[in-house]
Amino acid sequence: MRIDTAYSFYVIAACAAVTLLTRALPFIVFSGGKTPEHIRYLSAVLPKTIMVILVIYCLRGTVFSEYPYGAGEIMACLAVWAAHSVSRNMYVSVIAGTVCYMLLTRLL
Amino acid sequence: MKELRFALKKTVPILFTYLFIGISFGIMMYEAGYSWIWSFFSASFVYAGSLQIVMVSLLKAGADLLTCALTAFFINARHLFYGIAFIERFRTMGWRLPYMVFSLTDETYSILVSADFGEDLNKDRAAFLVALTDHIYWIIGCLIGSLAGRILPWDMAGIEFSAAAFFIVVVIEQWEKSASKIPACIGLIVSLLFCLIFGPDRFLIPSLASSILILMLFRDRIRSREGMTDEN
Repeated sequence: MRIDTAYSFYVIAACAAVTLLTRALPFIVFSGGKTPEHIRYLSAVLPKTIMVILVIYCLRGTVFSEYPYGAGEIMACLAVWAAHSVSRNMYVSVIAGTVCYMLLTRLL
Repeated sequence: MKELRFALKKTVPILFTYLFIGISFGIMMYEAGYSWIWSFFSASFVYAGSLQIVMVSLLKAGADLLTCALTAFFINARHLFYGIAFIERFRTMGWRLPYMVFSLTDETYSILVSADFGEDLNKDRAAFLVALTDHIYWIIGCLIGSLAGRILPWDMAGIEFSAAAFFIVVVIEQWEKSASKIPACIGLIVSLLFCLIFGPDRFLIPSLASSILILMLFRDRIRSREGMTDEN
């Protein structure tokens, strides 16, 4: 397939610029002077909310309406939790959960 | 160097995720006719997993630039909410600040908000090295996909679960450290609810936006439970 070099360059540059903008905007908006009190509050609590939302976001492709009814995802999540309760070690937990998920998607 | 060791240790879980998604992207670029140079520059300067994967479809379809820019904005709009946690903290970053802002991906964000840096580390340097290490994993993944995707024995389907597993571990650790469980519960309820209402591809931004509003409503309760004073 032939590619259009100039066009491809512009598309990638646009994606890079917009991505940077989304990451930089909060810093630009709140750059001056003292940080408002409610932003200090949000900076402490919002990450706790966002991390849970990200878990759901990662699992958004789970299909509950047909076999195996999301069993792979549910069991792998439980495996992560169980492994973390026992090991308290992030690597063990991530690897155990991922291996469990890969096995389940092949077996179920 | 303690900070580098810290960064390498903290980013191990990300290594799997980034290599895997990076390789998927590299293979897609290769199949669309793009050489490794394109993958390298995309990984270096766009540095956004889901957007880059969508970008390949945009390139193949010949989508116009406005469509590309809007798509990029909506896929990455969640990042608008990430910087809030670091406005104060990055003030001391100095020359590293622009790079820290540029490289604030989901995974780097989650390490920086959850990691216990300890007393004897230079926090700014350690945070910078975490960001840089993640970025390098991503670039390597994209390059492997571009250069060697065809010859890899490729049945790694399912390894993308490592991202979810990593976020789950972060949630467990934050849950145990938090006096107030309200923020985590808000995240769960809001995202499940909006996922049902808007569907799996459209719930993210409404969830993030409404979380902020609900967190503001519960401000007094959470602040007193967390023992926050006016100073923090």
